[in-house]
Amino acid sequence: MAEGLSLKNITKRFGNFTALNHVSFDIKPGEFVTLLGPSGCGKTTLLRIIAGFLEPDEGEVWFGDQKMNDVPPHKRNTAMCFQSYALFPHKTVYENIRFGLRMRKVPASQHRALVEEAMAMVNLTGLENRKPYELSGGQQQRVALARSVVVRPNILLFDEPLSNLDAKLREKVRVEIRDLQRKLGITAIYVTHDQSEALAISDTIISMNQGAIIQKSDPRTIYDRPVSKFIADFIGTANLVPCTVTRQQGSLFQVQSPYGMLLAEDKDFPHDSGEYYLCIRPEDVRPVLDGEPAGEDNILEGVVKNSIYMGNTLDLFARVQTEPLRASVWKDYHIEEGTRIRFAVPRSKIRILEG
Amino acid sequence: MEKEFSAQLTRKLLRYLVPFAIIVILIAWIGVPMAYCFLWSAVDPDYPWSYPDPLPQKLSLFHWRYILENTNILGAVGSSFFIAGCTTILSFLLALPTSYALGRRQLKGAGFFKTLMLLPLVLPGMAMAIFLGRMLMKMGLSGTYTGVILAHTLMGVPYMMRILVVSFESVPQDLVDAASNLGATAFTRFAEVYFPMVLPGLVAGSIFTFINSMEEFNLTFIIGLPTVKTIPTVLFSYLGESFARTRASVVSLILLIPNLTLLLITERFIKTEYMGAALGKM
Amino acid sequence: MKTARKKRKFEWGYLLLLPGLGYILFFLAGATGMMIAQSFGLFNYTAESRFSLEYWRGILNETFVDDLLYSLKIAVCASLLCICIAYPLALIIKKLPGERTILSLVKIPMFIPALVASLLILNIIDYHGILNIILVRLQIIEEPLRLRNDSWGVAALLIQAWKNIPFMLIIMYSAVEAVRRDVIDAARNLGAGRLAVFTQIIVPLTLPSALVSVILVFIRVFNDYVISKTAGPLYPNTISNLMHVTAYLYNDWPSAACIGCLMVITAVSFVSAYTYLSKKLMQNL
Repeated sequence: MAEGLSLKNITKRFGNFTALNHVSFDIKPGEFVTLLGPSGCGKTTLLRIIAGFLEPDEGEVWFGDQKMNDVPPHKRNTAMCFQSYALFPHKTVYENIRFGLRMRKVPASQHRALVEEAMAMVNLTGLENRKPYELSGGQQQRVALARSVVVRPNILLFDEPLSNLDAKLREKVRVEIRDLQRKLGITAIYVTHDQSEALAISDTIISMNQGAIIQKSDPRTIYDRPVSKFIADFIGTANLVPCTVTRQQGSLFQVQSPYGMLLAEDKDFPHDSGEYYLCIRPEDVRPVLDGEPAGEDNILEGVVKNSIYMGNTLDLFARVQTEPLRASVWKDYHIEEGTRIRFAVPRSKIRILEG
Repeated sequence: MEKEFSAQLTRKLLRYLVPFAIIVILIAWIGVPMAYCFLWSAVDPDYPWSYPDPLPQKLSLFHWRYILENTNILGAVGSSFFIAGCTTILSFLLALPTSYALGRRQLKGAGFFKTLMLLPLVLPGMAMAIFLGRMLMKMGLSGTYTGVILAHTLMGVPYMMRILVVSFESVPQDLVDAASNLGATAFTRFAEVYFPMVLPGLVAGSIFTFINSMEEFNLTFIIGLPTVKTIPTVLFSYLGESFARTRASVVSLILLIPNLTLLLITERFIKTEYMGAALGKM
Repeated sequence: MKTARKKRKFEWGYLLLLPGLGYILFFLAGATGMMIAQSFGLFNYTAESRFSLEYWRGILNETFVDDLLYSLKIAVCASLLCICIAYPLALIIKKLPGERTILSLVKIPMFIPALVASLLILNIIDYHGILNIILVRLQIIEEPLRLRNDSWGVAALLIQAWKNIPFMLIIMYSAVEAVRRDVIDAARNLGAGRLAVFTQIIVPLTLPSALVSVILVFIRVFNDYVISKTAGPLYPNTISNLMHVTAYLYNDWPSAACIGCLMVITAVSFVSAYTYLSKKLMQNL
């Protein structure tokens, strides 16, 4: 049975270092939530507190309507996939997957059917009698996954489970994890530092830095409407420059920046004027060829310093006034290094962020 | 072309000749003394082997028969095995919880305790034997099997702990966490994760302790005599107190055979890292 | 409530130290306590028990000094001889095919008790041993050498070397093997030749093990009783022997206890000085 989860004011210190500083959030039953942040931001500590391996110094952990602070890890009915997979090296694949069923005193007669079902779910059928060291990294990952889901936990926990796989496999397995979680309807909490993984897999992303939550929202919002400079910078790439903002009328702002005077339309920005940061995503910048109309868009004029062909895009590193500007443009453009060029940026694509 | 070929040949020869030579030297280094020991144990008393004969004139099993029939060597073999067995079991029982605590619990001062546990191996054996003997005498255990086993265990526990602490330390924390995450209680975690993972270390530690107890001389000599006799103390009576080469050779072989057989059978279990753990950082 | 729980967990871990460490400390403290008490004339079996300093006053006699110097001499010579053979051998073995076979063979003397080792080597080097026969046949010497119980202690030294070289070799081999391949590759890649790899990488990384193994062998030889007793000179002999003789032959237990104390003190001060010096040496490298 899927369960929701609430953390209330969780604080954890290691000596003088505060790993988590009054962290609170709620997760709905069946939701797939990712904790995203750079290393050392406290995301793994938080996951280990949820699993019960660490005790918080302050605050409460609730699963549904049950307070879990004093419940030891083995009674929490969570199932965790470890970065190292943590397969028992002395047990076969079958015994590894069965372990949780034995611990939960599931009648032995049901074990084979349940294990086989779980193995079929992760496409492992036929490898029952292998030992973990006889499997490839991807297969070990699937065994860890099967071992977690076979016990039908209330909450699935993932601690950077894909970081030891190669890029292609990582993309494949993360789709499988997503499908499996949807099918079983189990609440999942997934820790990663890989922003593209977080965007691809989650219902909700909780972005963390220095032991605190910075933003909690769905992938589209967190990418398009980051609440701070840190998030804009951490998730995807962004051109970020300081600027002075004045509200013109309604949601239209006049922005004085190193790129020149720009106009921005930002419905969510609450202030009327002040010193802030300007954020332009490289893919929102488009080159304006001679004679092409620019309409209402802002025009930035600069020189291309580097032009890098990426296959799916053409990445331009230009200099506008004195400031570097990065643009990701359509791959079929031929723009040489040293070209003087005009870029267009739509008003609605300029975000104004607090520092 | 010719030159290159000969250089290559020299290199190949070196590659195979040097290890071959080293193995030959090693066999001579260990094998010749062993062979001589066999020869001496089989000298016929009617044809003494003396300078400058390189080999004895006649071989017989006279001294073997003499030792087996006229001395209680079989009793000494029996008590050696009995003492070594009891020492191993007792050392294992004492070392297991402490090794777990030192290897897994992040105790303050663990480094200090790890040094402390090596003391019995570093302090002078004869001084320890004599005054441990005095202490056991006060406890009324002098000349008893219990006393000898307790004393041997004092040497066995550090060996066992050295290896077990390393084994416990090398169990990945993730495995333990995974087990408790899947619902394993403290007892199950120990039985199903720790125990199988430290088993090779346990086997290696037991072999070390067993062989060590079989060889132990000082403690048995001081604490066990006159009642408790093991193979080394019998051997000493032919070597240290008086010098009877032929009989000493027989007893030496009786002592070596079980030890080396045990070593050969179990060499697979003793990884070099355990060897290093047991001996390296005393 | 929470702190109370943490505290209980804490103490539980220390409780587990009791079986192993408690056992060791109980007997060691008992034996050492007995030794110190007896050295001041307490717990005396052969005379009246009373506190006295007379045994300590009479201890630094000629026999004691001779035996101490002999023990130190054999220990220093044996540990230096062993490292001079074992260190290069470990480096050579690492390079060879068939290293596993060689290592298995090398380990054997480690499991041969000192008493048996003593007999095995005495058989070889005795008056009518194979060594003398070969040397005389080759006309290197005219008369067979009398090495057993020789006055310098050559026989004891040889037996110690025979038993301790494998022990040291295993330690040194582990150290040489622990030098990671990629570190050596990196050095070669940066332009280091074979000699530079040896002096700049392998020696500094294995030197700590070499220093430790030297002191381990030193302690083993210094504490020895049986090898010098069976093969060493009749006088002087080891401190262990002097202590045993004093206690069991002359029944002078308090003096034996003094010798025991001095033996521990000598060993501890030697090891401390050595550790201090090798730390200095490692810092300067």
